[in-house]
Formats: sequence, structure tokens, C-alpha cells
Amino acid sequence: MNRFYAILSISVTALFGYISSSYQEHLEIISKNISELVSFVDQNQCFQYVNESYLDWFGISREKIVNQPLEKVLGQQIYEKIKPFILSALKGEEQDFEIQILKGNGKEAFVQAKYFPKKNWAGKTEGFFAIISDLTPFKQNELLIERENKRLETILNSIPFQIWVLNENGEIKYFNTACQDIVLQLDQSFVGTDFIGKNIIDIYSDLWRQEDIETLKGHLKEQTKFFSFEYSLYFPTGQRHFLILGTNMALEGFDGKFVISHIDITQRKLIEEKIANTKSQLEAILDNSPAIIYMKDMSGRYLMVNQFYEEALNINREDIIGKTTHEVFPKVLADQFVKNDHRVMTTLQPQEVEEEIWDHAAGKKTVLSIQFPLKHENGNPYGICGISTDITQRKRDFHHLQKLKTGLEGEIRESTLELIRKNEALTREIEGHQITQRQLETSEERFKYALEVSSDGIWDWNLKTDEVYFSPGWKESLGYKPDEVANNLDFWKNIVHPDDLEKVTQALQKHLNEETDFYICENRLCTKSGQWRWNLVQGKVVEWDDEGKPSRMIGTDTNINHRKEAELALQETQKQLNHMEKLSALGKLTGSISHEFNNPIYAIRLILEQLTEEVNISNENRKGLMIAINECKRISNLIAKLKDFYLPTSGELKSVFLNELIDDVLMLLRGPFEKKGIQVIKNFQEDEKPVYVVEDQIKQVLLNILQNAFEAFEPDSKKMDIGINTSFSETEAKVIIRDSGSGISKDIFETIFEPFVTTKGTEKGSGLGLPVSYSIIEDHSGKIDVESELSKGSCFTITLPVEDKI
Amino acid sequence: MSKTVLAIIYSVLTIIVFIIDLNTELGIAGGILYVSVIALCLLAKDKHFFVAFGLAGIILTIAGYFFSPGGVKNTRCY
Repeated sequence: MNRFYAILSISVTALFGYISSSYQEHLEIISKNISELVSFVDQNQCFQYVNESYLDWFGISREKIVNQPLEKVLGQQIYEKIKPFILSALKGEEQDFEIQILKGNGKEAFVQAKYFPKKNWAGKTEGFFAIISDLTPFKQNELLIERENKRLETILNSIPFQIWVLNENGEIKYFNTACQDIVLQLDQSFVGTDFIGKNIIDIYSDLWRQEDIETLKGHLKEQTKFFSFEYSLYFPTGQRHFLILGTNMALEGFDGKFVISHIDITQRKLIEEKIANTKSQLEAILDNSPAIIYMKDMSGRYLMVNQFYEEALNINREDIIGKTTHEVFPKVLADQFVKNDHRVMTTLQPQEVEEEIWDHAAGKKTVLSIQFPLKHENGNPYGICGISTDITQRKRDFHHLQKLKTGLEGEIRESTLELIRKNEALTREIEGHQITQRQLETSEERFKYALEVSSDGIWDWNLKTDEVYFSPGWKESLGYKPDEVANNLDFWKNIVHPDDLEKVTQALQKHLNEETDFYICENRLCTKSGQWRWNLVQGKVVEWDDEGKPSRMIGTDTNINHRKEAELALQETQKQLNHMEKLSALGKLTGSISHEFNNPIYAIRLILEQLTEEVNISNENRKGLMIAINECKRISNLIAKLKDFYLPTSGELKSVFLNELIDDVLMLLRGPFEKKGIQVIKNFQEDEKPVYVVEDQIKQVLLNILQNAFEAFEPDSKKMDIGINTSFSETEAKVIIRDSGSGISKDIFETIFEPFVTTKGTEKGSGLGLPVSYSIIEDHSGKIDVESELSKGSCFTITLPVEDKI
Repeated sequence: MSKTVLAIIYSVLTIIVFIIDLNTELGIAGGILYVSVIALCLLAKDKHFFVAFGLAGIILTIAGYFFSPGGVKNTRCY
């Protein structure tokens, strides 16, 4: 029995476990597969269970949720939002709410949460089940729908015609802005009124004609699917508006049943009216035109003829419209017309043809037809149009004119020949003028170039107004810009040298008084840079007034600065030449005087020598005699040297010792040197070598240099020394003459060997000494070098080749 | 814990209960211990465990009736 109870217990337990487990399995399958997020939260606000959807939705593993507090799993922000609901649920109250949260991936989500508390056997809440539905797709759809509705609303409101949505009773369910606008324009009593729920008939009852209202009522009653009619309204401004009303059964899903649209067709109506007016005007033009006008289609059937066509061809419009040419006209005429029409249709180009028609009253007529194709906008032809003018009379007149023309042509031909002859004569005359013109231009050009080359300036003086025209060359030659020169006489007077003004005025006055044929004068003008420029002024009076007084004078100013400078230089040269002439005369005089002195001195010397032979002369007197004899000798030598020096050069080269030559020259200068207190310090090399030179020329060079050294000392100079050194090498002999005089200034240092350069003035120096010396030394294949320092002295070095090397 | 491990544990427990039953004299309902094994099957969360170990418990309880000391022999004696 015990075993039976055991088996029963086992069976019951197993059955209970089986059922329980099955339920649990079902629940798990459900919770696993439903899209809602299912979880169980205990009293400690920790997750005890979450389903697969929950894990997927949050994108985390089960281990990170189960037994974890909500605050940690959901985050502080979400937890704070749902905290009140959690607390209420844990108190045993069911919760149902919607909330917007941020998911783990950062996207926003809308969720609906339902909390179901779970109570134990004692009624105490153990926790709650949370079922969360993701409403995000629905919310997005709602937003999408809302946006689409707004867009549709915008479109409907931007449509310029009215759209009403009505139910079957005519009550308004929707209207767009255009409805409101037009109704408010028509009836001010609707200001601020919402039309929803009102009947469309009530709104339009005062605005529409009764027949239009009845029509709309009828259609609404019969629920006609599609209908439309036109009606017109007068706006308060008095302007008439045409509208077209169209209805359609609204689609399913709309509140209303009908969609009524009103379209303002006022503009279209106005255009139609204009077109009708234009058409009637065109018809009036065509009918009143004095030309035959017709239109045919491509098969040659008449589409239109004008009134003149009917009159000209004596035919009714009704009898011709829609018929072909051959059905209307005789074959001969029809063939002609068809041929011309065919040409236009094939070429699609306008043409002008002469056609002959038959008038029952007047007989045969000639018309000029302009035919052209009629084309659609796409360029395809649909017919031709012809405009014909009766030219019968014109043809007759043309023949008459032909005859007149022939006669006139003969006359014109003769006149033309005459004109050709005159034209040839005129051409020759013009050619003559052109040659003269070219010659004149050439002459002017030549004169212009001549002036440019000669650098002459031209002036043109109006004696009446004192205005003076100065040529650009005149201004430029004085350094002025064209706008810097005033064209009047005062300007000229201001730049004339004050010393020349009187001379110029006198010369001018003489010419104006006709005492001279030309006005010629030399004066100085001040250039822009302030320098004086010499000018040769030449002018002549060229116009006289009625009283015979000069009124215009033209002349030139020629720059003669160079000539003037040359003249001044010539004058200076002339002075120097005169001075040299004097020196030359002095030389000759010196030669003559020395001869005259030499004889008496020689006699004195002989007498003195004889006196020395006397016995009764005291030693003191003898000594005096000897001094006198020596002095006589010295005078004789001096005279001899002077004579030699002033004698014209022989040009004969001979061997000379320079030391001796220097002594000879020093002898000539000893007197002046001693008188001035100049000490000569000689330093001659003893083993000298001869030089092969023209002796007197070298003497002249030495004399010149020593003379310059002598003159270089100021009278009050403390130290007056002249050092003369000679040195000889195998190839050359060198003489160095050094003085401690005033030296040569830098201004003229570079030019001291050029002619006529002197610091002593023309009274003392000719400026030729050094140039001549330079020339002489160069002729002897030697050279002169000079060094000088102002206030310290100069040093001349003469180098000459020794005799062997010549 | 996997179901295989649980199945092995439950099997071992069933064998232990069967051995206890075999060593217990009749009159003492040793088979009642199979209820505890079945109860433990709740942990496996699998309904097949209940069927398997329930049937095993019933069969082994009946088997225990024959193989327990003083079992069917004594009965047969009567």
C-alpha cells in the first residue's frame, strides 16, 4: 500500500511538474517571440527577467541586465523619467504611459510602457512585469502623415482657384484659401467666418444668379459624378469675373462627397474677346482692301475670298468656298492658276506672278499676284494665300513710259558725254592742285627739318598787341616747357641780359624805322637753368598796317654760344701771342745787349788783369782786383749763356751731360734765386752718363721748370728750397726737381700740360711753358711726371734715355 | 548548468534512491524519495525530465517491491 501511495505521489508530482514546465515553456516561447519588451523588476528595482526582444532592443547581453538595478541598466536620464511610474508600480498600481527616450545607439525612440505589479500569496507586491512597446515607427509615420498633410494643405492653398469639399447635403467639409479670398472679396459679411459646416448654397445664394444655384442644387441632388458650367460674378469694384465650376465625386476616405473647383477664366475670356475683335478687324481689312485676296488649302480648294474678289470676278463667296479652281474658272484660266499655286506649294517660297483674269464687264485684265504659303507654327504648310492687284492700267502706262524713256535716254547720253569731258578737265585741274599741295607739304617738311637741325627758334611778334609767338624749338632751346613761356613781349624782355637790352632796342628801333633792311643783333638770353646764352637774332618786318606802320615781325634766334666762346678763346690766345711776341723781342734785345755788354766787359777784364801784373799793388788791392776779374768772367759767362739761350734752337742732337747742363741753367737763375732767398740743394750722381739730346731744348725745359719753382714761392714763405737730384741707370737718366712752394691746385692739376693753362695770369705766364716742355721731352723719347700737393710743393721728374739706348 | 549534467545528476540520485529502496524492508516507503528527484526536475525547466524521471521512479518503485528484503517472497509465502 505504501508503494502505491509512493507511485501516486510520484505520478502526481511528475504530472504537476510536466504541466508547470509546459506552461513555463509556452510563456518563454511567447516572451521570446513577441516584439514587445517584457521584463520583471523586483522590489529592489533590479531586473529579474528580460525577454530576447528586450536584449535586442537595448543591444546588451542578458548578464548585464539580470540582477542589475534599473538605474544602472537604463541610465540615469531614463531612470529619472520613469522613476515615478516604477515607484507606483512597486506599490501595486498598474501603470500605462508613453515616453521618449534615447537608445544606446543615440537614436530617439518613442515607447509605450505598461507595468503590471505581481503580488505574492500574502498580497504583498513582489515586483512588476513591464511590457514595453516600441512606437517609434508609428510616431514616424504620424510625423510623415502630418508633413504630407501640411504639404497638401500648402499646395491646395497656393492653387489660384477655389476648391470646396462638400458632403452629399452640400455642407462644406474643406475649403482652400482661394475660396476664402474670393468670397470675402465678394461679400464683406463673411469676414473672419469659418465656412466649415456651412452649406455652399447659402454662401453663394446672394452672389450667384438663381439659375446657376438651381443648376448646382440639381447636380448635388442627383449626385452627378462630373459636371461643370460657366458663370460670371460682378466684384464690388465693378469688374466682371468669369468662372468655371467643376465637380467631381470625392475619393473614398474624404469627409466630403464632392470636390468643387472654381477656376477664374476672366483672362481667358478677355483673350477670347480680343481674338474675336481681332478676327472681325482682320475680316474688315480683308473685305475693304482694294486687292483681290484669297486663301486655298493644299488641295487647291478655296478657304476664303474677300469682298473685292467677289466684285472683281463677279462671283459670290458662297459659290466659290470649298470648291477647286477648275470647278470655278474656265480650264484655260484654271490651268494657269493651278500651275502658279503648285509652284508655291512645292517650293514653299513666296512668289510674284502676273496673271490674266476675265471680267465679264471689262474683259481681260492683268493682275499682279503675290502668293505665299500658309504654315502652322511647326512649319508645316496648310494652304496658300494670294494677294492680287489689278495692274491693267499700270501696264498701259508702262508701255507709254517705255517710249518716253527711249527718247530721254538719247538726251541723257549726249549730256553724259559733255559731263565726261568737263569731268576730265576738272580732274586734270585737281591733279595740278594736288601736285602743288604735295610740293608745298614737302617744302614745309623741309623747312621744319631745317629748323630742327639748325636748332633755331622762331618768333612772330604782333607789334599791335605785343603778343609774341615763340616756336616750340625756341622754348626748348632755352630749356623751357611749352606751357612755361608766356606769349608776350614782357617775357622776352625779362630774359634778355640787362647789359644787352639797350643794344637790342636800338637795333630793333633802327629796323622799325626802316634804317636797316634786317634786324640783326647779338644778345644774351637767360635759360631756365639761369645761364646766359648768346643768340644771333635775325628778323624782318613782314606786315604793315594801313598807316604804313610795322604791325608784324618774324625772326629767328640762333644759338651762337659756341661761336662766342670760340671768339673769347681767340681773344685770349691773341693776348698770349702778343705776350710771346714781347718775350721774343726781349730775347732778341737780350742777344743784342749781351753783345754790346760783352766787349766793354772784356776790355775791363783785360785792364784789370794788366793791373794785377803791376808790382806796386798792395795785397788787399790785388785781392780786390781778382774779385773784379772773377766777376767780369762771371758776367761774360752769364752773357754767353743768355745769348746761347735766346738763340733759335739748332735742332742738332749731341751728347750732353745733364749735371753740367743743370749748372748752366742754374747760373742763369742764380741772381733771382739769391735775391728771393731761395736755396738750391743739388744732389748729383757723379758717375753720370751722357744723354743724346738737343741741348738748348733740354735747357729750355729745365729753365721752365725751375722758373715755375721760383714763382711758386710766396715772398713771405719761411722755407724756400729747391732740390735737384740726378740719377743714372743703364737705360735712363733721371732729373728730379722738387720745390717747397705753393703746389698745384687739384682743379688744374690734370691740365697743366695743356696749352694756355696758367695760374700766374697772362702778365706773368703764357701757359705754354709746360706744354712745350712736355712736347720736347716726348720728342726725346722721355717723359715728365709731376706730383704736387697744395701748399707743400711740387716735384717734377724728367726721364731721358741714356746715349747708348737711343 | 546544462541539461545533460542535470540528467546525469538526476540519474545518479535515482539510482541512489533505488539502492536505498532495495536496502529498506517492505513497509517503509523508500520509493517516496523519487518525489524529491522529480521535484528537482523543476530546475531543468524541461517537461521531458518529469516524464522520464516520473516513469523511472514508478518502475523502480515497483521493482523495489520485488527486490526489497521481505518482498514478494514473503508475500508468496502467504
